[in-house]
Amino acid sequence: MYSREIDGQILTLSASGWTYRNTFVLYDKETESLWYHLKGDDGLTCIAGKFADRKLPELNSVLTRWNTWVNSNPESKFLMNQ
Amino acid sequence: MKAYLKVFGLFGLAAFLACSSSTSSSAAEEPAPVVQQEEKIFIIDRTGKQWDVTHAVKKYGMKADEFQFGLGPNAIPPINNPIFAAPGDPNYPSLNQTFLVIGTILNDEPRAYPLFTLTSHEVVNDRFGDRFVAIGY
Repeated sequence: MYSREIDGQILTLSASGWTYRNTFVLYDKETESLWYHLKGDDGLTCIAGKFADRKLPELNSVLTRWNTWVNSNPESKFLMNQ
Repeated sequence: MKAYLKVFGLFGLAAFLACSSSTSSSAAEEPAPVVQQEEKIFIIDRTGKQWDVTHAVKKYGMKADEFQFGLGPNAIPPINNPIFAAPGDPNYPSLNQTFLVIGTILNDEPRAYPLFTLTSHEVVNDRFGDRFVAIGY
């Protein structure tokens, strides 16, 4: 999970349709800058476009199983979109 | 952003595209078409859209022809209007199910995003109060 705020602007991130070395390349709809998680980095780096070299920091999240997650976080909401 | 599994959706599309072509078994995995114009480097996706990757190449040493698939920016639509079920809602998953989720807690609010949804959208644009975040897989 990443922040999508930069300089007070809210970005809408999306898959660009490209992958690079088996990792999705994202872009933002507002500026069409490209965002990529560089190896060993702790966020998305703007590799091309208006925000070149700027970063969207990674925020804490875990990959786990639903039963494990909900037992630890019984108030958790659950994403319903298909 | 690093998993191999997450290209499931792309591989599915790639397989479909490959099946529609008798001359290539892995058309979508071919290197991106690269165009150089003076100092600029562009890659061209399947929709004809040109992407300027000059900075990625010159600053980060990325190779223009190692960008793959190029399905176009509308091939994998993100979720921009996330809808959540709360405990007690009729469609809330039963607590003993073992499918994978990305879980996070922000502003004291825990939320879970199932991978079976993330794999077909890649990105969820969400907000927790005044914090705007993107969940990607």
